[in-house]
Amino acid sequence: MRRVFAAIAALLLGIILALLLAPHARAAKWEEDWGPIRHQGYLFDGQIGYSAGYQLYDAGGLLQQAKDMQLDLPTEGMVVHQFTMLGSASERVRFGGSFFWGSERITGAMSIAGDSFSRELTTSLCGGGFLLEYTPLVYKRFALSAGTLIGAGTANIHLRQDDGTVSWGEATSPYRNDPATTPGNNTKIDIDRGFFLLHPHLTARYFILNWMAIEGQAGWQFDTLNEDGWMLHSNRLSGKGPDISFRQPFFRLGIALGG
Amino acid sequence: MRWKTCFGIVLLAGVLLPTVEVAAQTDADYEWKTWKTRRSHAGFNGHGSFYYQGQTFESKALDNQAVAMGLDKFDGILWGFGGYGLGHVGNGWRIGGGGFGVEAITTGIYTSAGGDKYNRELSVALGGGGFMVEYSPWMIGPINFGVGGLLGGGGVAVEMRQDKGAFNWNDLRYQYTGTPTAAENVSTDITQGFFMFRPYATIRVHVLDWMAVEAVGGYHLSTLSQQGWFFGDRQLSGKGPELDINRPFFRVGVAFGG
Repeated sequence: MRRVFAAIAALLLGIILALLLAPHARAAKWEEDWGPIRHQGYLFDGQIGYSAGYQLYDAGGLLQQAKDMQLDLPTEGMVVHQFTMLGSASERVRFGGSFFWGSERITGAMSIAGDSFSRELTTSLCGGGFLLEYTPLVYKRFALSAGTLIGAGTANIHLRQDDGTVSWGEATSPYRNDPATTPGNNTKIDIDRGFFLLHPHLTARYFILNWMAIEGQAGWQFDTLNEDGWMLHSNRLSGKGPDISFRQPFFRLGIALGG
Repeated sequence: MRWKTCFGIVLLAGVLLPTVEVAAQTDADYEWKTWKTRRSHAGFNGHGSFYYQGQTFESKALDNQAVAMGLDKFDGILWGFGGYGLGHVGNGWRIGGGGFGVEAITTGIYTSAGGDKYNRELSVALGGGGFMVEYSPWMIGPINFGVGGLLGGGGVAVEMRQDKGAFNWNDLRYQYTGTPTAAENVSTDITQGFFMFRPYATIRVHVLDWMAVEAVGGYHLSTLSQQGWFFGDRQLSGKGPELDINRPFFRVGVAFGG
């Protein structure tokens, strides 16, 4: 986990250094070509963007659950995707909206009492909301912004198993017979929990064209997710649910298109 | 046989409707006469719609499963919502895209021989989307008529659920550790993807310059079959439940455009 964290941090540092140095290559031409037609030579008035990145999380009791299911342990990190729209409110302030989603899926095959089984443990996260961004630093084609996403999200935990060859009759068996005496060989559960979230972040954006920029982003998720309030179907779990936590850093690389 | 009849009706309507306003043949001829229809052609230049939809279906296998679970049979209609966007490209032709999601659910409480009660649910969900083409040049006052079709892909999911109503995290997670035990708080869903074509006929009444209400009738044609059902990543062995969704659909909605 730490190695992944260090690798991403090094990658981001490299990108930021590259972005800081690259503008010198065409500094004069930038002002000459784009200055008159762009928003004082930098930033889009409006933009859409896509980014992919990594969200760290604390799997808590899911580590033990993975062991009990005879699966590999979760890496406690997931690939996340994000779409963003931003519009200028003033020279340096922009606002808009964003939504994101990601998951970590662990699957495995095992033998249990002589029978073959496949099992899956998937942890998912999605969310979205209002996005606010302030850009205090602009140098040539490079802009550094601070912002936050204020919104809501949902965490989902998916457990599934099957015994290899599943027919319609086997799939329906637990639902045609007494559940207390019928094994759930081919079944799944999904439990989820909604929460409010805050995503303060820093974004480094480098404008490679006057309608396109690449960006790197680093931030931290704060949320109201806890062990209470998990739901299965429309029923609330009694007692505590899994103690998973997404109050961890995230890193993203993306592209923004605007004008 | 049913889809042929339906498609024939749509084609017949397409042939007959132009005679209502035979003079309108070019964009210039479609100059609207009222405050609601002041456009260069029939309908919006571009519009989007949000609609409520009913998709008829039939499945003896799922009705039998519902009865076996102690539930009522399905009423034969999947209900849900959808939307689309269309842009006028000339002479009454519009192109765009759209998508929809519909669902039917039957729920109930099952009491086992031991007296335990379980919430049970059986559902069928259908969703899809794709590319749309519509020919709708015909106007009678503020009423626009058209025929079109959606060509794309979709998926269907059949899900069974049961739970005891009260359970905790350990009750749930222990079902997936060691040898599978009692299936008391579980669900199973099977899914299948398909290609589809949905020809339709539409009536759009322009109540404002920028808004219209519409009613649509059409027919769903897809490649859904008894083979090709999946539980997770695993394909079901043998045949899955037969589910006939190659049937008529209807929808009502509101369109906004300009």
